[in-house]
Amino acid sequence: MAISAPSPQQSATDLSTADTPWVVAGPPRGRDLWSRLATWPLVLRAHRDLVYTSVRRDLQARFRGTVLGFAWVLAQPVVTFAIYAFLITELLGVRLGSDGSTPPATMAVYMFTGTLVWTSVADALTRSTSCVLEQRNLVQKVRFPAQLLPLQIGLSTLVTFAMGLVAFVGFTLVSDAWEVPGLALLAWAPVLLLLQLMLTTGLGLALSAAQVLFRDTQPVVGVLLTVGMFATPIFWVPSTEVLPDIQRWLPLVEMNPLHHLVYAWRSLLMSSEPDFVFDGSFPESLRIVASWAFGAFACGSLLFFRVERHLADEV
Amino acid sequence: MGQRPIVIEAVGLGKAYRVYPNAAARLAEAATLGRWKLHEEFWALRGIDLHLRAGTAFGLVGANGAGKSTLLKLLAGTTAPTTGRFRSSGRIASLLELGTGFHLEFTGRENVRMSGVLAGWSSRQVERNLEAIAEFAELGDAFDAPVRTYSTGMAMRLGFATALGFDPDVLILDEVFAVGDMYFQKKCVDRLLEFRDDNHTILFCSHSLYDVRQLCDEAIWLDGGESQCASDATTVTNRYSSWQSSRVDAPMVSGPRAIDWPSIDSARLVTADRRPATVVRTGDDLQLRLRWRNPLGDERPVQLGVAFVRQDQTLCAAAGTHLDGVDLRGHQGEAVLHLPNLPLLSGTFTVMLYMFDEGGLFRFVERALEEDLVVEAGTDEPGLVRIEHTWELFGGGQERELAA
Repeated sequence: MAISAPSPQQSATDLSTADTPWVVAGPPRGRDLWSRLATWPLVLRAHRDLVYTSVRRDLQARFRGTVLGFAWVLAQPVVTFAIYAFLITELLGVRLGSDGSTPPATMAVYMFTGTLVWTSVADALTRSTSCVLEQRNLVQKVRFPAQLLPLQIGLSTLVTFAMGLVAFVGFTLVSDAWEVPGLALLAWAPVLLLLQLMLTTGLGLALSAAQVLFRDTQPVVGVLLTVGMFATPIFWVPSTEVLPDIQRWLPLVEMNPLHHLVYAWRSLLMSSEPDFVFDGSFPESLRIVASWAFGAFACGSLLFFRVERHLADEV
Repeated sequence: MGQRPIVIEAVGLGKAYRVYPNAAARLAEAATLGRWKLHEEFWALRGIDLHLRAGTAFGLVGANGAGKSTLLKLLAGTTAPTTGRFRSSGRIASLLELGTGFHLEFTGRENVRMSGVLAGWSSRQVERNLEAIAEFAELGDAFDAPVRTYSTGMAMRLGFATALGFDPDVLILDEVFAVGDMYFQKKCVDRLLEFRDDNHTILFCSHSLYDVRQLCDEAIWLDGGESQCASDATTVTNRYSSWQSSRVDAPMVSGPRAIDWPSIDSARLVTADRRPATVVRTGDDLQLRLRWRNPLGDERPVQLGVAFVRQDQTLCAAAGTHLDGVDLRGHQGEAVLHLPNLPLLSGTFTVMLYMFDEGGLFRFVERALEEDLVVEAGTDEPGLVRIEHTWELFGGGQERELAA
């Protein structure tokens, strides 16, 4: 299939197929796949207005016709945090560390930051799994780079995630229950956001293509995400000081890229946590997240490009 | 004028769809990296060669399932060929399904914006075209109302305006030719002709042979995914229509053998003095002369029917032996339908011929007369038919009857 969309700049007078490449039959060659991976930035540049418009539209579609509109993006994290603060800190009185040296809200903040990251990733994966299938009208009728569909989902969830971050920082500014995150957040947040986008888009590309060919993909993703939510330290602390029996499972937890993503975000958002919450290191987690992000993006893209020619026939 | 540039060319284009018996077979084939071949191939299209030149319209005819849609999808670039190759230059816009790409919660304006960026335009270029599109669609204030509030006609108008609004080089029309009310249809047709004459290309797929003949320069007739005839539009539509009439004569249901099937062997429309009547005037006396055959004879009585259908598919008039209580006896014969003082006013009418079963319900034969009937009105009267009428005037000292 054609890689680039037809260029609108071409004038009607010099129309001729003489200089255009043939679209040929047969599966794409390995070289073509790699060159398409390399031309991702060009596709993005050529279709930046399409990406912007559809991300905007995706966000608008969710809140169209509501009174609060975009403010609903903030409602979700605010309510989640209020529940954690009330339930964990007030009602159950859960404290991190037995010596009482940590602020009372530590566990609530810990869970909240974990949920924020997890929800965003899970949301992106769930929605991108079905995105090509749901846009079958477009995929069948219009020639455009379908690889942008999972990217749009990734971007759109990233926007809501960033709003959640803003809500959290806003909360720390007005409340004395938690310290305002350090300036490291400002420096590293863009990097982490980009890596998170690459990770979710890469997985989303693979999953969306798989879903078209195998409809079992969606339920499988659903089950895996449910398992993942508890296998990833969202609601529990992967430290022997908190959970003495966790020792034998730690190597397994260490292999989970989402653990490192959550960990990296927490390092930035919870600057005044006790050491045992963070016995890893931020640079190490960042490195692991980065390699997963690049790996997932490359593999997901290659897989998507490999089967793309069948997608319109199978949706 | 020199040779016009080719905008789409295809060589030996073919498409096979993979049909899997079930989902597990597909998974097994993928898991073995295709070493187990568990799918069957369904060839929707085979060995198609095409050349589309700028400034022309190309027609695509064929029965349902002949591969027309597959060819359109291939050329639009949304599906990949299995064999052969093709290339195209310029932007291709599809009018495959009018208005269905619209998001109902968004306004017409927002939907047009989305279509524009999807077509590869920048937001700035889209904004420049927005007003022209809104103006052509004639939606007024509704342009800024959600599409869910639109009537079907409004959505189709917007779809048509959008497809043409972003200045495509090739426009693909699948059955959709003109939309909306008569006024807007006329506007669509004018716009399409203007589009074609402006050195753009139209790829038109339709069951209406009349439209294909009128609009297209060249055409291709597909059957079973293969090209049966590719030539100028008139030749192709004639060949297709004679094949079609031979086909509808053949049995499509199990039961009587082909040899038993009733048929209309010849049909012609003549004037009272037996001259071919293709262009006539209102008020002429016409005869439709048919030779029919019914191999089973009185065992299975048949009925003849004739209908005059205007271009927009309006059934204008019809006659049937079962309606008039006339019986067709024997195995064959000639039937003459006398049509004195033709009341039809100017227009082009397709003459449909039918052969029914006794009750007039099952159609053994349904075909159009090869030549359409063109009526040129002898009067200035508007309308579809001329009604018998007289005027009678009273008062003013002019009591008298005036013949019309």
